[in-house]
Amino acid sequence: MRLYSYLLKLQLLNALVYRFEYLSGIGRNLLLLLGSVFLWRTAYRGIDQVAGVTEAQMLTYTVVAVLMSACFHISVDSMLFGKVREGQIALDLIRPVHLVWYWLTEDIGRSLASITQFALPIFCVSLIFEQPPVPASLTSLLLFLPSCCLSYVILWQLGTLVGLAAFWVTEMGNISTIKTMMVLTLSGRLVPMWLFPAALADASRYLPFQYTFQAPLEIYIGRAVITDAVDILAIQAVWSILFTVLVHVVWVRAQRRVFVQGG
Amino acid sequence: MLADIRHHGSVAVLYGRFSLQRAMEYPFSLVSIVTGLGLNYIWIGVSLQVLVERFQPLSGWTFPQLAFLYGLSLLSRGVMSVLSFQSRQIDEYVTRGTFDGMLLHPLNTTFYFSFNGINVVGFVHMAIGTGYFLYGAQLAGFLWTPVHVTEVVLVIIGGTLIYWSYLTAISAVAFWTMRSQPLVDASMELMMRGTFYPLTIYPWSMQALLTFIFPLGFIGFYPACDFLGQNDNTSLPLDVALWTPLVGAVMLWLALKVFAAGLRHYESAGS
Repeated sequence: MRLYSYLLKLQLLNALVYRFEYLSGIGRNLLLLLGSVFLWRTAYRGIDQVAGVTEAQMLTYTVVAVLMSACFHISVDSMLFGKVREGQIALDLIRPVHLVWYWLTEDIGRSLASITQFALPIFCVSLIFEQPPVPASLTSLLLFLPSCCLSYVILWQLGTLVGLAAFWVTEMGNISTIKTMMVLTLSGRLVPMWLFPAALADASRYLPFQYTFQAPLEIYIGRAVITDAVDILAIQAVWSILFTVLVHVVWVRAQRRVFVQGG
Repeated sequence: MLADIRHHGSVAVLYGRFSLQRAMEYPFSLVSIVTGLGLNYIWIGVSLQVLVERFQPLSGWTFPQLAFLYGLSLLSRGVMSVLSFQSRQIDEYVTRGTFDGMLLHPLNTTFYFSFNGINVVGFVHMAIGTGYFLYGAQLAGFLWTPVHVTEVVLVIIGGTLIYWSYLTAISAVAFWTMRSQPLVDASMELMMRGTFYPLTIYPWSMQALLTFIFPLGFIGFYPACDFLGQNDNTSLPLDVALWTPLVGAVMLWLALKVFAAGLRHYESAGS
């Protein structure tokens, strides 16, 4: 455990080094935030609520979605593509650590750094033009936190599964683009799925994507009442367990397929 | 002069052919990115339709009008995407020292840098953009007169110049900072927000920013206002479909200046 704590600290320090990347990242998230906020304000002009959600709730949804997105640092898929393609995975395999945990620790470290690096400044700036994104109630907040953690777990496992595919197909580079786009569109991060036609919204409930952003956000703004929230947490837990098993199985098989290029 | 242009043109075509052949060598990768980006751009259009249907016309713009604006912007973005693949990777060329190779070619460096490869994926933007543009034009009352068609072509050329110049100038920051990819990512977000939606959804300060500082409004919004008669809706006193090529030319001049200044500052990272 001490080893993983050390790795975590290392990633936190690494993340603080690149100031230019940092400022650009803040700029990008602020643009995303401003763009979304003004879009929703325009859509709600003169309208009290749509699908039971008021303008204030939707703006809170948007701000928290951007903050979550800024905190969720997941680079395991691109890292695995690079390492498998360039043969560096061989060095990782001789490390005396469980590699899946090692990669998870790296990404959690960067995500923790993102809370202070990105989320906090974005939150502060958002206060200039928007009310603080307060949760619907204390219970909503308390249920949102574990839901948010499970969201990260699901997203990370999805990234790992896509990344591990590199052991079978080395030149697949952009398959993570499909994963990223699926998450972007079906997670409800930009436009909640409940606004889409019923058939599409219902179908998306059977996919893991909306449990990465929409589900915790519904809890936060109070659209999901306590019983709904408990159901959401249970479904998220099931997806997390399912993906954990899948990652384990794929990782065991991937290790048998390792070949290293170059000499 | 004419022979020079012909020579450079033939070189650009040759590199374009090489790029196509290279892309075809990795069909899985190509299909993945085409599917991913295609889904994303179709989804943006679907989301716009959902917003209008569930709420109301967006700042007075109906869905066909929004589709027209989105399609027009996507067409310029597509052409830019085909031609600017290298721009986004300047920092990689600079940090790895591979930019040195570009300086050694017996061609203008900016030309070689811009045309030594094309991004096949840009054709996806163009295809989806064409679909939305034609749909919007059909339903939003766009008049297919020879003058309007010529204006649309000029707007797409001007829009491409604005996109390309903006991206190239931003990417050239890598000559000073060694890294520009995060800034490019932020700029892509600004490009999306500034071209896919009517500028009137933003406050006056942002409209001014997207008109005078980063003139992305000239790519889709102002021309669409002009073509669809939405002029009353603009907060800025401009009536400017044909200004787009002019703004594009000014932006191109500025971008080439920035790129040239960056080149003078460039220090090889290689050994």
